[in-house]
Amino acid sequence: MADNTAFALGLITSALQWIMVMLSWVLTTYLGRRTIYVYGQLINCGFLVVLGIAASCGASKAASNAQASLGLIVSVLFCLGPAPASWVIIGETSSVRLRPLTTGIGRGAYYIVNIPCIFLASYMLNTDKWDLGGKSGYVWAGTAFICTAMSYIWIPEMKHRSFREIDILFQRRVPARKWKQTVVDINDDE
Amino acid sequence: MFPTPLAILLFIAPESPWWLVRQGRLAEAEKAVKRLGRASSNDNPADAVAMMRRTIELEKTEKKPSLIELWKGTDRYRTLIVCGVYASQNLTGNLIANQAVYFFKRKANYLL
Repeated sequence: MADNTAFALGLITSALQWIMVMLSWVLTTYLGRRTIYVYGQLINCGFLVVLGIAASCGASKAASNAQASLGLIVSVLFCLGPAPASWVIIGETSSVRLRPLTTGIGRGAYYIVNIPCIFLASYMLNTDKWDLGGKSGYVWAGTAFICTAMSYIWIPEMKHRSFREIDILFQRRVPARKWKQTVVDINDDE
Repeated sequence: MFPTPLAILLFIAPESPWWLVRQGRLAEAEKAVKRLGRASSNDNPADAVAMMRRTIELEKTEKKPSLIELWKGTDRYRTLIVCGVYASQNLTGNLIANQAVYFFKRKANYLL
């Protein structure tokens, strides 16, 4: 019975993720990629800290309810904001000529980080290893915060820019935060 | 389960016009452009195909991109952004959030 409930709730999470990805289509129409990505990560970072706190309050029914719901909230919000935005950024950043190679190398980078992270995640959750449970929320909040800070410094806003403008802005080495205000004249050619 | 509808969709989807132009099948490419485009932008598929032909010819004269170029000049910054964004998909709590079932199971254990 309990297993069935857990499985059903897992399916509900997937369904909610599906809906959130479709809502992100609306979100990307109104907000820039940088905005969605940086603030989406920051919000998730906050929820992960709260998840950690919920796990630190001792074992009660309320605490585990809170952890389960926060896990759901984090995964659903991730599907609404940072996840789709990250694919847009991956698709837009590299120069057109090098795009297939850049994307390939990027996927390689993903797996280099992915494999140790899966090990780490399993060790943190398994009861016969570190058994951190929800407290691993603190660890992921830490990594998420580092990612947020790095993306705030380095990821430029590429919404409403043509390939040409993106090339020029990278050539000029405009700082990521100033992309939005920078105007590229039609006659500029660098 | 998910690949099945995808496979059906792929089967009925039009062939890529770019690929057809590269193969020299220009008439078929025009048809594909017509099917893929919006009604409003379908005034002149022949023009679109001509543009593709020109682009492909231009591409042939350009140097083939190499992996070394990814790490030169401003392209290094661009490559690093892509790598970083890809890598951070693992680091923003996704790995614990996707374990929601684990928490539900734990919760279920308390309830029992």
